[in-house]
Amino acid sequence: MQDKIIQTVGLAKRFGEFEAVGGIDLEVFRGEIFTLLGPNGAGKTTTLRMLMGVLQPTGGTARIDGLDCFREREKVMTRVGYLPEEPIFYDYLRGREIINFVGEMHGLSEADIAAASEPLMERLKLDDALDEYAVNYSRGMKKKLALVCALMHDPALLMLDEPTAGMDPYATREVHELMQQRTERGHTVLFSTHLLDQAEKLCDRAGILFKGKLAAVGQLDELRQNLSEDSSLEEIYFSLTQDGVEDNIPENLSK
Amino acid sequence: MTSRPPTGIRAMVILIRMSLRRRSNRLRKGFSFAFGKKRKGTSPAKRTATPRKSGRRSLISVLALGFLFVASGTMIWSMLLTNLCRHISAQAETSVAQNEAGEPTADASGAKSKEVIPPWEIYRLWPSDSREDRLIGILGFVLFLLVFSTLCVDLGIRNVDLGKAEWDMEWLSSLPVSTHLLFAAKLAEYAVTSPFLWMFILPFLIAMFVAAGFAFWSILLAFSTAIVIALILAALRLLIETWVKKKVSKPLTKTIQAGITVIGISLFWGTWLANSQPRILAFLVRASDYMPAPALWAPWVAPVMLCRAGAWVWAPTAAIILGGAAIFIAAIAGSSRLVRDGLIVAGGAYVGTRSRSAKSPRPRWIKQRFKGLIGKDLTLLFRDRNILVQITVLPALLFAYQLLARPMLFESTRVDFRSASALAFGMGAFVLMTGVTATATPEFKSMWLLFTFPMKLRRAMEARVRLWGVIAGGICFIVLAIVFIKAPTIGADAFLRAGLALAGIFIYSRVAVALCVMYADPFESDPQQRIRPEMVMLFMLLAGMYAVVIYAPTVYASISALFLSILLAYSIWQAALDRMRLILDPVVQPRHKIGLIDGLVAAYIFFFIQGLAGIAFHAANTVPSAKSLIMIYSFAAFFATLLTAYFFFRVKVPNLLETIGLRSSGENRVRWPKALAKGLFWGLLAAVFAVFYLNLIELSPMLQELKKQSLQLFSNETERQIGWLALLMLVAAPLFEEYIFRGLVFRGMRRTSRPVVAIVGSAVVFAMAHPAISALPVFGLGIAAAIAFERSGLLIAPIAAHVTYNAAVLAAQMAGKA
Repeated sequence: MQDKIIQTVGLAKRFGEFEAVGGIDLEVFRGEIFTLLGPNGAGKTTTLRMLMGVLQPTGGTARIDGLDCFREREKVMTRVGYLPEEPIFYDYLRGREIINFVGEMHGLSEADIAAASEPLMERLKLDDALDEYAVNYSRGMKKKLALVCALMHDPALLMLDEPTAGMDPYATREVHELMQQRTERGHTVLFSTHLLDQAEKLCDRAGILFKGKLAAVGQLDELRQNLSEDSSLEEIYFSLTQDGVEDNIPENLSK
Repeated sequence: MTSRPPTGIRAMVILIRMSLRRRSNRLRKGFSFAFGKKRKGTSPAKRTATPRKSGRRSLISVLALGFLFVASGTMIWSMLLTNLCRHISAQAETSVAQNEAGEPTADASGAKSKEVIPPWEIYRLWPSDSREDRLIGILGFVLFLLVFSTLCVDLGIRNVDLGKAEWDMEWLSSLPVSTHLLFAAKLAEYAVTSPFLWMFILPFLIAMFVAAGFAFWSILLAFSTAIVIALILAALRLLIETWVKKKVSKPLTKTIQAGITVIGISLFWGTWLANSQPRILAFLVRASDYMPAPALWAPWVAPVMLCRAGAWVWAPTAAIILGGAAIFIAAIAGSSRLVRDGLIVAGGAYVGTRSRSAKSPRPRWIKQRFKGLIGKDLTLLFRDRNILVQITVLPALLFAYQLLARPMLFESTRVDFRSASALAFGMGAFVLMTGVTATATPEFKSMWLLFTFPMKLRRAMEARVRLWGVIAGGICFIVLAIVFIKAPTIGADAFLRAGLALAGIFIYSRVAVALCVMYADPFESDPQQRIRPEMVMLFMLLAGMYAVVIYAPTVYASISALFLSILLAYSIWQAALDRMRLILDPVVQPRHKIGLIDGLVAAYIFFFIQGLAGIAFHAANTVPSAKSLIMIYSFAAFFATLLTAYFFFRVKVPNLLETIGLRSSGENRVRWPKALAKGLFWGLLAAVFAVFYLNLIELSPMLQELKKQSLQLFSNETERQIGWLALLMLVAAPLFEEYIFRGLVFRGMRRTSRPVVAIVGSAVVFAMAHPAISALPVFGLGIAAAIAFERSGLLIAPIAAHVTYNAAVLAAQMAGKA
């Protein structure tokens, strides 16, 4: 029985009258790449924010490594690295200074920071622009910077919100390789995306979120059971996320 | 079918309507209604306008506040007008005696010169003939200064747009509407949103017209001229902004902004001070002589000419309207022309260097000494010229103005250290207010980064408190040092006041950061609104209250007031901590948990009601009997209890009964008899101490005097009334007092402090609520009751302690009398 690193039970978030996330039971096992799919407004970012302790769930619990994400956020953050969809940094700090700041806040020494960040920056081709104020970076560069910040303390779990949106193909390939290397070392990766072909290539398990509920979760083979042997993830996705389908989610698919 | 884009008036209407709708959405309470009813079993109703937790400002309170501001501004400007009228009348008289300082003293009417005249009577002082011309000239100069300084302030630090790379004009220009209309709409928006104009220039105009004798027409006249001036200001601002954005590089822009702000604020401050400082008024009058007569015809100054008696009205009115319209059109035409080759903004934002560089360019001294949060805050601070100017140059200017207004500050043989300390504290508080808000505002978008660190969010708050405490404390210290160096004699009192000022800065740095968190709205798109303006007003109010500490007559009073300030800061800090965790959550409000602030509010209501009763007795010229005093006391306590209990019930405080102590909580499930026993024990201890103290009083003449004062009320009581006394002192007082001071104050502090801090803190508050003579034994009771409460978890324990204590003391006093 695999070890769970993320476990949510009935996790829900309500904004006023609107139910963004309506009670999901999500499990992510250690050492796997899990992808969260769903149309716009399905609740992916809200779920990730609840896992990061930024939002307080209005129902249910979210736990990472057995620790409550909201109440014990400080302890959780030692094990988690996060890449938001639109990272925004302090206006007048240079890229290098931001990396040093983040490293210091995670308790790394100067040597550790250099050792952890330099190879990453070279890989992502960021080292050229480090003396530039972060506010002048393009969107892709900001994401690369945020990725370096997220990986510096070698977290057991890496959570990425639409990681490759806005990145050029080289960077995209690097990010994918990074994700796979992390799991080879026993770490876990959770990412949300729209890009079904990327997800299909990379993930071990997938969860399809639709209107705040988990329409389906499991390995690709399990997800295919309802359609045909060789359906692509795209076909599965479309069949599960049409309007009106959420009332007829088969029991064995959504757990 | 082709659609034709709107043109002319229709386009302007659409643009202005959008701008207004944005503002009204922000002000509106509650939702708009969902379309159609919710159908069962399907997904929730369509997304409605979810009200954000910080978005509920009521229109009525905004209007009320605005009215208050305008009214008080008018009053203050009336003082200026009164003084000006008198000054001119006095100067015209050739036989005026003058003192060495050169200030005119008595005017022609002699003894009436110091009389305060209400605004609507100033017209009686209004001069005539050539003197009126002089007055008009001076008023024109003042108005010119005000308009100019408002323009500077609007273009200066407040204008975040000027230094940004993006500009919402870029988005608007993608609409099929002519640039002229876009600029016209923007101009209209600027006209409405210039706070200095509506808060200061409008009241000035009202005061001026009232003084000139226009009576009720003044309001209409003032509003119409204010609107014209607003449009002119907006036009100038638009033109200058467009020019700067196109032609000036970003770093230079920031520097210009800083300089303009300094000029604007100093001009404004100088003009404002003329209201109350005769020297500055005289200076202003002399300076106005240098303004050439034709300048009076400028459309933003011409309104003053309407005040001239006689049939001159049409010429100035024409100048105002035509001149204003000319400026309006010129600005729009000018701006459109400037951007006819595209809205490309000059330069990028701050440009660093893109190169491979091994050395970190952060200033070495910061890099080596300060790491983490403080290092980041310092680095950002030193790179933002605007904020640096705000916290260095502006306080220095304030100080210079104070010296200009009151050169006696240093040269008198006995320096008033209270005023000096208050000034030092005021400057430190000003730096706190501007520094904390200015550095917090750009932080909100990057706040997500703090959430990814393995640290409690309060550490970020603490780092801010420390940094700004040191900066503001430094400025306070410098001012104090200057005073100390220049003062001829320094006594112990000087050190006390100086110490109080510095302590105040450290306390209020916490208050400033806490208020920022409490009033923050990270999701607000307009950066100016991210910290709600109420924060600044509340901070100024609270900082003003610290004057009580500095000006207190005795050391004891100072120390107790200081302690209350510390408690206040603590309670606000506690509330801010609760909110900080949820700051990035757009809807969830932290559930109200009982904190020190609830105890302080309950205690305040308790005292307030007694104070009201005291005023009533005073007004009726009767001395209250002990019976009525005790009844009022009990009623006040009862009412405070009821009000707060109802409030907690309504907001659904979690674990309410356990927190107050009406029900025992899990860990130490003590049954009530045992709690009662504990209470009795501790009460007896406190009573023993009290009796010992009572005997001690007999030995000390000073304490005896105090005792006589407080027992005066009981000296002529009959037997029956002692019965009442006993009843209330043994039942009502303990019950409600324990609820307030132990249930709320103690438990409120205990939630975020160690037991010792909470016990001592609540005991001190309790002692301060009683007359000075009994402060010490009541303090003992406070400690005993708190310990009993802590040990048992049930309110019955401290109540028992209190009853025991009161019974023992009562018995001892009656035995003593017999």
